[in-house]
This record gives sequence, structure tokens and C-alpha cells, in this order.
Amino acid sequence: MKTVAIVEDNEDNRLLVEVMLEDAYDLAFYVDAAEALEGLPRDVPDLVLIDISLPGMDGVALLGMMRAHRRLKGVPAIALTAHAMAGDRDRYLAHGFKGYVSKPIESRKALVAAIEALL
Amino acid sequence: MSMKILVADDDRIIRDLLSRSFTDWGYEVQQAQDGEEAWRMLGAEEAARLLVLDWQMPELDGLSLCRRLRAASDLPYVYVIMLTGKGNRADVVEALDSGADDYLLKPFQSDELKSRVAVGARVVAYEEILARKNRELQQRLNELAASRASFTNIVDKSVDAILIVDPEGVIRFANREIDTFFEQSADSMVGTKAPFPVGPAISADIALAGGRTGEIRVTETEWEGTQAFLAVVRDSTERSRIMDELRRAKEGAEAGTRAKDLFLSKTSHELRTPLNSIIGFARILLEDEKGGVDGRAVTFVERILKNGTHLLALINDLLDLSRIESGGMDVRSEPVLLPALLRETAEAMAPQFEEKGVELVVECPESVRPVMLDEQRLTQVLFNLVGNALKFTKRGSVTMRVQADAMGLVPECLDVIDTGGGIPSGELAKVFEAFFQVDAGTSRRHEGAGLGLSISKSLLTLMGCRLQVASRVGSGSVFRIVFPDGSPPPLRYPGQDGETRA
Repeated sequence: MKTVAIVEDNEDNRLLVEVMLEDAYDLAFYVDAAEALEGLPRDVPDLVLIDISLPGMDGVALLGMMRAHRRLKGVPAIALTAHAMAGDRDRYLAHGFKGYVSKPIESRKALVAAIEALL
Repeated sequence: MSMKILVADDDRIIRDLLSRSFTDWGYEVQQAQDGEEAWRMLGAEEAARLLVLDWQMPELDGLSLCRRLRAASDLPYVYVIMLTGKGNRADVVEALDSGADDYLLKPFQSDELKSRVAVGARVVAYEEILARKNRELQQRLNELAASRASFTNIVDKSVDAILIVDPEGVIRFANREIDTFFEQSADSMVGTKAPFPVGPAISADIALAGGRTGEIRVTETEWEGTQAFLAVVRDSTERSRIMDELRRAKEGAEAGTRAKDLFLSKTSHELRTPLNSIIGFARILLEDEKGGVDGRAVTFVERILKNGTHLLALINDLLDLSRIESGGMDVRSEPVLLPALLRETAEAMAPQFEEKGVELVVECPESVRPVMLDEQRLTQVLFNLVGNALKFTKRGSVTMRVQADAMGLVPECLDVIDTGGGIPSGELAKVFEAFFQVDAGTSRRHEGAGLGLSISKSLLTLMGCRLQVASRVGSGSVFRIVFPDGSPPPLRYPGQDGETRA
């Protein structure tokens, strides 16, 4: 099974993503960017779902750190965010995210499709 | 016109003799029998300018008349030939000193008289030319003076200080306004160095008296035939103050817009985050394998999901509206293929139509050229219009119809036509207002906050389109998007032009 890492500070959202994806992937959860940067290199996933509004370093900065990291630079990342106003999708894709899923997540199917498109 | 000669002699025989001779020589003759009469005649209008005068006459003799003539500055010049029997040098001198121009001894020869009178006539003619030239000159001078006076008046009344400065920087001319700018009189500044730099094409700000600021513009000119600079100083204190105020107001407004955008963005994020859990977990509960709810609980969870979704739509609409109103909404201009857009919209909405048993019809010539609009925003508007039409249509159809020009190339408008209940004419004007719904006051039969049409209209306006509506209760409604530069036929409510209803 492929491994998907989720960087998300909101416990409810972590639980929701877990329920949505637990049957399809091995999941690893990180509550902020610092934890992610510590854990991800040890256990490199096939894909990362990154919340944008994280405490401390935000999701965009985290992606930047990953891109500079030898072991993480090839890992595709999807922005999983409640920043969903006009222009947000284009902005995050321009920052280097390979996919964009807005909250509220439309459906399990939509989330899985976004992940599968990059695996 | 022949020249007039006045003959003044108390001896009638001599007078007549002279008169006959002058008449023969082509002159017009007047006669006076003494000095006083001659004096009166010379003062009249069109008087003779040539006077042949006898020295000795009763009342006023020739010498006295001569002196009186020369003393009268208001009379035109009169050429005087004195006739006398006195022949010595002292008499000649006395006659000339009294003001006579010439002197002829009696008895005189006719040919000499003729020549002398001819000289006088020439002198008078020259005199007249001179006088005319003099009058003309005087008139030119008067005109110049008037012109100069109005120039000075304009320059002095100007609210700008106007100076002429020579290449050494010395002021050669200054208007009155300079007094208020430099606290020095214009007269006292002429001849002194200009208190600002001069040179060709200078434009600079300078300090004026009383803490005011001025703006100076220098251009090259000529002054009294030599090269000089024309400096115009304008008080820019008020303008600078207004510009500063405008800049501050603009910065304030921009900061306000940024703050509002940031607020909207944060609000959007904070509202969506809990909805993610509400909608997400409600869906999970309804899934067979994980949810584990049954019976009435399924209905309850469905209500949670439905209302959560509705709340999300409301939030999206409100944020869109706020962004449009704060000017934070940008629209793109890209080629949009209408046949494809209509097909995709119809496909996406097909399930809702099937569920309700209403037909969805697409009428669009395949030949139409793309329109330059924001595809995403146009799609949003179309979903809204078609969704609305379906919402208010119980049976029949909803038609998306593109009308193009006669060649079928240039799209003019896109109509969304329904066979629903229609809108009462009194409420037609209000349908584009935010939160308006037909019947909204009495019963909330229809979902939605009533923001869709308001948002659609605003978005279309941003894209350069117009949104129009025609409707009649019982016939249905048509909402029309008029494309930029589109000139479609007049809008009619469904069935108005004899069209058969689906």
C-alpha cells in the first residue's frame, strides 16, 4: 500500500481524512511543519497532504523546505486547505503544489481522485 | 477740390481784382473787407487755409490779425501773404515777425502774385498731408497705448507671478502679483537678481513668502529685442495640500481594501474549517460500511448534510458578493466556446433535471465564434441562472439559447428561458437585489439566500455584459446575458412572440 502523509493541525480534520483514506493508504500524521520536517525524511511517503494554515511555519513554507531537502524534494504535495476563494487554487499551484483540494472536502471520491492523479 | 483763398482788403477794387485773378488761376475765393471779418471767417468750418492780407485795414489791421492767428493754437495752420505799400526792410521784418509767411509789395505783378500764391498753396497742401499723417500716428499711438494697457491689466491681474529675466538672472519685468509671492514690490524687484534659478525649460518648486510653496516654469522668450526668460510662478500650496490629501485618502482606501480582503479571506477560511467536519462526517455516517446509522437517524444526518451544504453555498455567495463590492474581484478575458460551455453545463445539471422531470434544452449554433469572457465566472453565472430556472419550474422545460447575428458567427446574447411560474411585473425590478426572492416574505419555499442573481449581475457587469429579464406570471421567465457589443433583438417573455411552449 502506498503511504500518504498528512500535515494538519486540526484534530477533527485529521480524523476525517483518516476515516476517508485509511482503507486505501498507509497514513502518517504530523500536527505541524516542524514535526513533519523531522519525521518525513525518516519515513518518506509517496505523497503529502499539506494544510496551509499551520501554526508556526505555514504549508507554503513547509513545501519550500521540502523542495530544498534531498530526500523530500521529489515527493508530490497537495494543498488541502480552507483557503478557497477565487485565485487561491492558482496561487498554491504556482507555489509548487501539484494538487489542490479545498475544504470542506467535496467527497471521499474527490479526495482519492486528487491523490491518485499524482501517484 | 480746388484750394480756398481768403482775400482780406478794405479796398473793394483791389479785392475784386485779386479775386478775379485767383478765380482765373483755379482757386476758390472768399472775401473779407476788414481784419475782424477775416478773423471770423477763418474760425469757421472748412475755412480757407490761404490768406492774402492787406496790411492796412480798419478795425483790425493785417499785422494784428497775423499775430492773433499765430497765437490761436486751436486753428489749423493758415498761410499768410501780406500785401502792402510799405517797402523798406524794417517793414518786411515786422510783417514776417508778426507771423506772415510771405510779403508782396504793391503794386505787384500778376505773374509774381501767381507764383507766390502757388508756393503758399503747396505749403498748405504739405501742411494738410502732415496734419493727416500726424492724426494717423496719434491714432496708432492711442491704439498701442490701449493695447499695452490691456496687456498690463491682464498681466497684473494674473494670479500667477510673471517675470522677464535676462540671461544674467536680472529681473527686467515683474507683474503686480509678485508682491504677494516675494513680499517685495514688483518695481523694487526689477533690476535685481531673480530669487530663483533661470535657464531654458526649468520647472521647479520654490519657497514663497509666508511659508507657501510655488511652482515655477521657465521658457525662453525675447524682451525688447534680446534673448530672455519668461518665468511664471504659480502658488501651488493649495494644490500640494489637496494632492497630499488625495494621496493619503488613496492610501487609506487601499489599506482599507487590503484589510477588507484579508478579513474576507480569514472569514472564509474560519467558516469553512468547521464545515469540513460537519459535511465530511455527515457523509461518512451515511456511507453503508462506516456510518452504521439506520432508521430515523439516517434522515437526521441527511438534514445535517443538506443544511451544511446549504450553509457552505451561502458563505460562498456572501464572500463573492463582498469581494465584488469591495472591488477585489478580478475577471479574466479569455476566449470562451459557447457550444462546449453549454453542453458541459447541461451535462453537469442533467441529474437535477431528471430528478424533477423537467427538460433541459440547448440551442446554440455550432458556428459561433468564441466570446472574450471569464469562463469560470460565466459558468458560475450560467449554473446560477439555470439552477434558478429549474428551482421555479415544476413542469415543462428550461432552455439555454444562444442568439447570433444573421451569419451565425457573432454571438449576441445567451437566454435562459423557463416555463415556470413567472415573476409578477411589480417585482421584476427587484429580482437583482441581494436577498430578494419572489414570495420570500410569505413562505420560504425556495432554498438559497436570494444572492445568486445579484452576484450574477455584478459578475456580468465586471465582464462587460448586461443581464436582462422578461417575465409574465403563468408564462415563465427569460434571463438574458447580453454579450459585450452584442445587439440582440428585443427581449420578450416566453410565448410573447407566438412561440409554442415546450
